Amino acid sequence: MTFCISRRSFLQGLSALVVGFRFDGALATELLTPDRSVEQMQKSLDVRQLDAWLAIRQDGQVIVYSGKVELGTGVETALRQIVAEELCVLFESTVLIQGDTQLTPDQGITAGSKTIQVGGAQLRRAAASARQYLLDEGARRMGLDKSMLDTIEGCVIYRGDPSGRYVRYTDLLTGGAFDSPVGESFSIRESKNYRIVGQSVPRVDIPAKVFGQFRYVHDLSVPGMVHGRVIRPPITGASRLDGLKIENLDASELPAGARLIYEGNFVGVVAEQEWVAMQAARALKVTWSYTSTLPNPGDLYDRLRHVAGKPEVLIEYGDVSEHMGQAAHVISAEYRWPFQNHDSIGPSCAIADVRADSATIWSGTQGVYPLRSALADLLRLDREAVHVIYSQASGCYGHNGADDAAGDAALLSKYCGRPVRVQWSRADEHGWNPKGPAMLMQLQGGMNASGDLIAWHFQNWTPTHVTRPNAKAGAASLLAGQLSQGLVVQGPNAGGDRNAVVNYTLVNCRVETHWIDPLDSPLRPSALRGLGAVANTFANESFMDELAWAASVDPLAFRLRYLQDPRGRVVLETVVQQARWTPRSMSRRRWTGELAQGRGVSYVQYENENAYVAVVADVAVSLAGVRINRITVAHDCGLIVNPDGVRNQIEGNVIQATARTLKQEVTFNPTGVTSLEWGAYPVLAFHELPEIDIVLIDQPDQPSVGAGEATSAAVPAAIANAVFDATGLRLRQVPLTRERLTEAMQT
Amino acid sequence: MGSSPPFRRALCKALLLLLLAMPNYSVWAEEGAAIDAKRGEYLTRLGNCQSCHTRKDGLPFAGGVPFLTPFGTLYSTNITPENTTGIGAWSDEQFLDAMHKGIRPDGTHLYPAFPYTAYTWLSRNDVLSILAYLRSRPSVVYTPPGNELRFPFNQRWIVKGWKLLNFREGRFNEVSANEQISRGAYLSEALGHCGECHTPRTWSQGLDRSQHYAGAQQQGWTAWNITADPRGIGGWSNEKLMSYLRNGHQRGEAVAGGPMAQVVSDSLRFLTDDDLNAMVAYLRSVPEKPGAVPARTEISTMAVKPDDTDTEALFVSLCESCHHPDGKGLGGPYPRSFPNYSAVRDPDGTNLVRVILEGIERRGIQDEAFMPGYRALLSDDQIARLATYIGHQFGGHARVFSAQDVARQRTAGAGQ
Amino acid sequence: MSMHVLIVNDTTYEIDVDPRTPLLYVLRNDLGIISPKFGCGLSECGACTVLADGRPVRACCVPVGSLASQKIVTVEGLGTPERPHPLQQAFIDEQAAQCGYCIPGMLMSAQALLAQNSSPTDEQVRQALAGNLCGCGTHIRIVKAIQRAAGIMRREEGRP
Repeated sequence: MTFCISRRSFLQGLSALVVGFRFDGALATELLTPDRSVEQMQKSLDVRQLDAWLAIRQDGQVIVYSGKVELGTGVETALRQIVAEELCVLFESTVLIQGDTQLTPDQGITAGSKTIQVGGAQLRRAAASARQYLLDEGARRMGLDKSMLDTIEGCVIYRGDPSGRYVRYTDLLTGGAFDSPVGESFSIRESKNYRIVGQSVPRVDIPAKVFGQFRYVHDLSVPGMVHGRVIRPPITGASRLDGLKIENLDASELPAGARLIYEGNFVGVVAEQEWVAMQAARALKVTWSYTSTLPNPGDLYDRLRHVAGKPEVLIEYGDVSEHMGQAAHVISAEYRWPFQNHDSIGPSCAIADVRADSATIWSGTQGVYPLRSALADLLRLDREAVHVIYSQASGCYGHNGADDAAGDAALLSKYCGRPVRVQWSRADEHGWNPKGPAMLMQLQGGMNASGDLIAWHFQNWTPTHVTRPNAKAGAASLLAGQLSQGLVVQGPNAGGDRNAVVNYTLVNCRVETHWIDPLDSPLRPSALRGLGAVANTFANESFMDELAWAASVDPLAFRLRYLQDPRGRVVLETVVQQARWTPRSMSRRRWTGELAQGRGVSYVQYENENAYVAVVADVAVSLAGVRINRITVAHDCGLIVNPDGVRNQIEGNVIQATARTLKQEVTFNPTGVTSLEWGAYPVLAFHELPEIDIVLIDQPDQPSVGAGEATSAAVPAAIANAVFDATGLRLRQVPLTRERLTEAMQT
Repeated sequence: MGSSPPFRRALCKALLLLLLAMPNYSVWAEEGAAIDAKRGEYLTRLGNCQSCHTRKDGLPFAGGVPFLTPFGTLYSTNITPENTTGIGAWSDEQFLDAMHKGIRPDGTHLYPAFPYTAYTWLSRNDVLSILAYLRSRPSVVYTPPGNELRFPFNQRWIVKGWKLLNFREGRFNEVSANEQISRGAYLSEALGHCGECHTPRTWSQGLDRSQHYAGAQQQGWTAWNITADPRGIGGWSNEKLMSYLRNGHQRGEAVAGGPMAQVVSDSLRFLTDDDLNAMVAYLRSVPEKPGAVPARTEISTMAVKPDDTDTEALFVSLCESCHHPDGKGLGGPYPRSFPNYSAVRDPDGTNLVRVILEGIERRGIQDEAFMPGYRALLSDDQIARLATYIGHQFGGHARVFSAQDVARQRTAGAGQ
Repeated sequence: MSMHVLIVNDTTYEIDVDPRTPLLYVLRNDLGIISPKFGCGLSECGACTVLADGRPVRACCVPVGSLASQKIVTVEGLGTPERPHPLQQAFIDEQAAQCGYCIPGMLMSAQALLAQNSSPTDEQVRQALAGNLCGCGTHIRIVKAIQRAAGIMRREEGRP
């Protein structure tokens, strides 16, 4: 198959290079070893042991071992706050070691807004248990009853003694280790006594970042390292690589110093100099054959409907069919959400040093353990022989190319016998990373004559949102495995049902999901911030609005009719108060393109059991498109560990979700993804910034739940509802572009 | 077929060409050239069928490209050999009728967005070679959208009237005693259909033959004056023209964007030297018509920068890293000699704003060029200010572009 | 390959390199100056922005051969933890980062702006950052931080 000049071929350098290696020992540059602030030691990784989580060094430094990692959201600071609070040590005396298969416990992946909610809870428990252990030990040493002791700033003190008898934590441990299990009985400190949790402690990583000293995975270098690039086939980003075969590999134009490496359909080049590797990737000419199974772009949503399996009923109560049949008004609507991409400004990067019987990989992965499983399978090594070290990358908003880049580096290193650094190009990342899946949502609502909602039927069609590395999928979860060994993408049904169910009290309700196997998803699907909650909430909350307007009831009042949860009502009431909501005028006149203002509201409880978020969007609509003037957010994520950190997350969610709602759509054709750079798949620009007004509702006595994603779910419908308020036009397909607006105006 | 040239002369010419034609697939109107799919591939490239029959994100030749005309939007058809949605079921004669007469198999008239006004000059065997090539391409099942024309233009019979005014069926006849020039004319007029973009149109949207190649608006872009006028290509050397046509740029002098970039990428870069020479010889022979955009020699660019530091910052950060000062930069397709570009000197600014909006993708014989489109990254106001800044500093004019100017271009005539 | 003299953060380097190599790879791989980041290689995102004679340029595209005798400044040359530049201090004070990958480019574009205009409006700040992209959505903090730094710099220079 030929495809003439295209953005794709230019950006990907589809024709790309090779030659013999020339290594002359010492490299010109001084090589930097990745930071390892604690000497490697045999340490416990058993999550039931305190030593898996905590160590206290002789100098008093408290080492926190976290399997959850800092992706740029501020959790390094927040987790340290939690431990410092619970263990009664100074915040400054803590240090966090994160994501290392030889040092940190397996806490799964850092995702789903679960680092504070789950990882933080685990650390809190470990720290409380450690404090208990220290109190016990202190009581024994001081010969006092435990009830007379307290802890403060790394010491166990005797409360009754004004002269301050105390013993340091460090003196209570041997070699810094607890050698004790995480206890079952311990007391968690009361939130009213908190000194560190609840404070906006400045983020510990920011200074290094603004002084240019922070080492991202992109900035690491290991001795003997060479630079690698991978040359990929057409059908960019497709799930299926059917019939893929290399017909011809022409390395005749490779620059000197570059070497070609390939296995199966995995083709790469390595070179001493990065620039040479890049030239090589462009100079190598590969002819591929393949069978495209991608739909024409216009057929995407039909394809989704067509390939889905039998629906899974997520929830059913009452009799939907009967009441829908009896309804005075039945309203139906279909909503569409496109494939979307990660906004990582730095394309993925990884370093691998693969030896005959062991391997070390530095990666910006969200899960060092799952990646280890995948890499071990790819390299055919024992899991224990593979050491994966997390190193922060550019922001990731889910499963981007980080894991794949690690696979690329590992395979190249295996074949060239040197440590290899693979830096993806912009087109690699835009094209080949897994995409947030496209989804189709269909809703039907029945109302009786007095405008009461008596039946609700939700269906969606969605690929799974999870094809991450895991032990079961092994190398199949990595592009390198798919290309080199012909494995196919796989994943359990997950994520597409998130927030498919609404938190309103409805009498007759059925919610069902038609799952699509990842291999049947046109583009390779996986986790993108919020997963299915974003599209599902866009549909649910738009539909609530449609129903409200149909019933001639103010959209806010309509929601409150069906919202029982007091915390939910509080966020909704708070946001409208903050935004000075006034009941919307029910009279509509035909919009003809003049500048029109509107506002919309939206509400969600994330995952139906976590953070409560309500959003009011104020928009201005004209023929130039939709402009967001202001987004007001009320947010309840339980106990707030770091208010400024939560605000930062909410602001980020608002801005990213605004871009997702107004601008972002992965474009593709039968030969794969065509939006391969920021011009074609843009982020929000500075001139498009809305004002953001946030009200945090702290619940010191409620558990902390995630704040990293919830707002993203609530923003899109608020915007669409505001567009309707302004123009009377109901835009049901994201992104809400100028073209879709004018199209809607003309029909 | 009434006006076909005397057969004997054509035969002589064919023989002559057989001697001259070094590359295998040079083109001439000889009736005697064998029908051959390989030759058809070359002709198809020269006719640039692919650009118009391959939509963004679509498969080659499957059609669906929108053409914005004053009468509404037309969509190119599927010309893959697919039986129901493509031209797989067409007979040779039906294809010839479409190419030569603008008539569809059902007898109705084709809209002249399809340039049968040019293709009518193609020899029968050349048309059939093109067909042979198209038949060798993969079939694609795809039905392009229906045309969206206003009444009465949605009535195909109206095309008949249009044809009476603007179409003369007939094969190519040499235009000059000079063999090379005639050959170039066949390439430019019959195959390349340069006039479809570069010749202005009459009130009835026919090509205004009195203004041949004098420049026109097309698909949201300005196609420049390519006559021998000093404001056209009068000042260009043959070498420069050749280099421009096959690379899509001439360092420090001209760059192709928009539809012309596509023509270079899909068509011109495949031309043989002989054919390119012939084309250049023909272009040189086209009578000069006065151009609208001042030539480089006519303008004096400002010695001092416009007093707009905000926009200068925008210019520096967005433009300069690639278009940095001449002699120092990336060179190749990314020069900084802005005053040399018609797009910059044109006070109308169509192409300047357009290129900022859409960017450029182009592949020439030597190199590729990529400029990001800033449609989604900049506001109308920012683009207007950039265009104004560039025009003032490098273009020798004082046009101030407004956000509304940009908004208009954003929504109108984006072509593909 | 040929010898080139580069002046980066007031240090002069002599390097043997293909003059067409973009500055970014020389800074990062040969000189160990890691603050300029690779983001797109297309001059689109601004993560690699450095100053060349005070002008913000995209190091991912500018060939090193074009920069002879120009003074290059990166974030490393702006300030240090001991002597932070007002911009750096302001970004810390405003907590203007999430992943932070875009921040070095933001800082350099901001520095170019403030050198030209010590009292920019918010609109002018946003304009100056039009070529810098942020994926995490820290835009609002970034604008605030630049305004804070502008204020500090004006005070330091005794201007209102």
